[in-house]
Amino acid sequence: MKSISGPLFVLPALALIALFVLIPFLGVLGLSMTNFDIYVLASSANLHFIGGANYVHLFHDQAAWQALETTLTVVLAGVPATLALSLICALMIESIAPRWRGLFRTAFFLPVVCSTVAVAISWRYLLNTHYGLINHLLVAVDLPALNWLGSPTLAVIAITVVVVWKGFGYGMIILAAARREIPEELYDIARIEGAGVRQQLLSITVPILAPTLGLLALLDVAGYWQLFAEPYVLTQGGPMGSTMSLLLLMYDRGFRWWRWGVASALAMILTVIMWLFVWLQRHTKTSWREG
Amino acid sequence: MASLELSHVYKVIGGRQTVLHDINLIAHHGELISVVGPSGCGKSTLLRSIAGLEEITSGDIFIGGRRVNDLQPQQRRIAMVFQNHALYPHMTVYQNLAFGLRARRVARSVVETRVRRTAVRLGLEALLGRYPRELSGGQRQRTALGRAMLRDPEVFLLDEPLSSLDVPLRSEMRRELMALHKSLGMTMVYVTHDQSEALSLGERVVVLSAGKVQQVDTPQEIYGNPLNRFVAAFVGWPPMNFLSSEILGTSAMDLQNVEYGVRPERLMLQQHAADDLSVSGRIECIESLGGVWQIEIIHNGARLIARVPPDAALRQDEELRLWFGRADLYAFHKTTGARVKVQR
Amino acid sequence: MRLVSAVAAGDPPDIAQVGNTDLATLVTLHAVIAQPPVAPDFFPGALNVTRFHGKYYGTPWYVDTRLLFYRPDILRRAGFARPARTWTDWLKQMQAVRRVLKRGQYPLLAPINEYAFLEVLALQQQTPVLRDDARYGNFDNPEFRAALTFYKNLFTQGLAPPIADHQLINLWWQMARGDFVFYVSGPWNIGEFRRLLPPKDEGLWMTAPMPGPHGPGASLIGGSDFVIFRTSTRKRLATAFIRYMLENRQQIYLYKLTGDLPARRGPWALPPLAGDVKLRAFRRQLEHVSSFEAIPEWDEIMDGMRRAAEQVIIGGQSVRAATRNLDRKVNNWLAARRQIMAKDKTQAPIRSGMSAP
Repeated sequence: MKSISGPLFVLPALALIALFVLIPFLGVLGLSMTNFDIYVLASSANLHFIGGANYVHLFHDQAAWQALETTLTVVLAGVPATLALSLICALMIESIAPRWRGLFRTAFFLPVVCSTVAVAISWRYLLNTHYGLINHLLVAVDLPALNWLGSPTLAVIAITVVVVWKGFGYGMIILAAARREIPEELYDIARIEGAGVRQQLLSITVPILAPTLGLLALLDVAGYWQLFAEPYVLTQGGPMGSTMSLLLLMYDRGFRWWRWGVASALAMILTVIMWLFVWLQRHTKTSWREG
Repeated sequence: MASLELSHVYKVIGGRQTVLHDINLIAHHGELISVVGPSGCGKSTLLRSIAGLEEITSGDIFIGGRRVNDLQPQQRRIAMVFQNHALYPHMTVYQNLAFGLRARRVARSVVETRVRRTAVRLGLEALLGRYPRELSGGQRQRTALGRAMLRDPEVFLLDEPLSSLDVPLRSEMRRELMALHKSLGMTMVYVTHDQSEALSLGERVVVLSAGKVQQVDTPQEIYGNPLNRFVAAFVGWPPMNFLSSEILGTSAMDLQNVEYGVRPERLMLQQHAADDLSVSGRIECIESLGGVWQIEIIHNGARLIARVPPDAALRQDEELRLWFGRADLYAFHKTTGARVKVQR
Repeated sequence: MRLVSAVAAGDPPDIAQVGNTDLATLVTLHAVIAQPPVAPDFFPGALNVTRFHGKYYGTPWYVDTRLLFYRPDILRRAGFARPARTWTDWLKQMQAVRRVLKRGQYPLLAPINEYAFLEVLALQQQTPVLRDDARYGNFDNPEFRAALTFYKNLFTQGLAPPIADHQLINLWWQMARGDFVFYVSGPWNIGEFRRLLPPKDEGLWMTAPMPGPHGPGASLIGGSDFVIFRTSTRKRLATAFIRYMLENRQQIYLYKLTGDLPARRGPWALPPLAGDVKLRAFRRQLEHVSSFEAIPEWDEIMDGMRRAAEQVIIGGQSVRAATRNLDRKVNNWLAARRQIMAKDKTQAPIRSGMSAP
């Protein structure tokens, strides 16, 4: 009885995972090794197993490499920026007078709960070359107006900025809560021992928040690899494909050009990359809790 | 020379709430002073003010003869131990001990030597590589003490350092602390809400209530000669019995407007001297504490507690007369609470 | 497209309204049936795009084409009574117009993330952009290169800003401000201009047929067709519905509701279409429309063409390199089509468009 009750309890969860994760995963894996396209849909007789041909195709596809580079750039620049901004705002909120806290917390968290599409459209106006607020501010301080969404380099920066702006509030809330859990006495001791503000931040606050930061980094990495809505609305992948993310490319290939085989291969590659990142992160010691 | 001196120290918050009210206190070098009072009486604020973690509104604080009002905490030559130990969870015992020395940029070899010496002294040498969460309560306590000792302070401030420990450990640590105090010869200010701890540890005891010093004296004097009703009621367990002059009846002295008090352990089952006083009442409950019984009697609606030797003759709901010597009777002014001398 | 999913799931509707490329996709999927034209007076260009292997698979419902929207007042200020008819004159006109504009204003708006304008320029040439029954790309021909060069010059000479449509704040308001003098767009913008600008600004914009390489040019036929699905059990009812929707009354009602232009000539002779001065250019252009082959890969190819143009305009690539690159990509995308056609021609339908033999 005892030996089967455990497995019985996890069975429903396992069944759900199998149904919604494992089976689709195997389906996509299978699909990625076929030529599934519009002609196959017309007649299943056209379906062929083509092994790794889709992967070879993607390997030689410059657009795929560019999408990988763009997405990687957003992940590598966006995740640290998000964490830093989350941390700074969390510490700021916790250090200001309590009656202002609610206001700032709401203001910083608002982007998280806003619809990405609405947010991206608002940013489109802010980033407009001629009429946008950002360029007006730049000009006001004697800097040149920038062609934010028209230059391949600036567009990637703009996308990263929007992604970070949209996401940092979540980490801020979590980090503010974690910061509140740190006893004030730890800082009292630091003051008595003569540790300054910078030292308090670097040798107390950051190390204690490290496990939380690690968790947020994991979530952000997973989220940013799946970059889609921001470039979809802001730039549609342009200019010159500079803001085409892997997921956006997958969408184009699969749902606009009916090349499901190639799109599935892209999905598999994205999955493997994300696995790799999660694995790397789990094997990097960022947490004192793991001992 | 006084190790610590507080002179007319006030702390007022927001211009209205007086947290510390005219505190005057002198601690001599090597003295262990305990500060006791109910929660919210200002004892932690007092300690934090001495440490410089909080600013005082007026008055002066001297440590080692130096006025420290305008000095930062790290310049005041104090060390502090907190109730929750305040160990850094992400640092090993060694790192926790070394934290202050590192912050002050002491040479690595010196740090190593001093940390090891202190660890040996506190029996922590085998635990230097452990993290706080891998330590027992007592070991954490010792680490916190060690960190404070490494500051080599003029005054050692302890804020309820034992209250997070469980009871058996607490008395053990109390003994260790006293031994430590003796061997270090350091001035200590020990804050607690537990009056028995305050009495057993302190060479002198400061009783604090509502931000005011009620009495400063040796434990014996605090217990035997309380200056007012608050001190009398706060110190001693079970607490002192209070009786109105009506209850005490004709046998009482002819004092007006007073309230009488007698400690439970002074109530006796027999008359010992001719001029002994007595009260009688119905036994409400008998509680055996082993070698001693705790009895509650109701007299004219007032409840009295007595600690007496076990006596099989005692029955619940029976009438009982309890005796006490005139010397054991205290009198307090009904409105001011000040002690009134009883004519004996 | 959701209809493809519906076909894949085996549960399509009886009737649907689809665009031209989608029609090709549905014909490829054998999902829709052929239906003879329900009226004699369709614009030939509109009817032609529904023909595959000699049969009509859709009934044109409404049509659109691309032509010029422009600012007559600014054009007059630059010394021109009406828009040019040829590319060369148009270029000269835009250069002259630029002199009367302020900084930040441009003679032309041609969003670089839209391919319709370049598609029209390509369509105006004699040589098609695909060859051998749309088996291979044929962009690397002198005529398309000329079209692409003309297009490129618009940007490199500063006549049009190299921006995408999402970099506009408000097209109509910006046109009214004079930010742009010419804009190539479709009929829906007649309604949008009227809806989004105050009535007093009605005189600020006008329409004109597309200039061509050597004279009034052809333009693209777009719009929407009714299809009946093979799986429908109510095909007669469906046909009756389509017939009803194409009566004058309903065609005019649709125009009033949405601004979509009738696919038959009949309603154009009646008010309010007959009296609208801004529709005249469309009426004329619709007699002069054409289209490329409709194959399922068409949108992907056009997207590729647009990207190639971006490489030239922003990336500084040469026109020659861009067209060669594009052909290579297109040949890749058409590989599956070539395979199918080698096996069975009927499986890869092609509309009798402008494919080189």
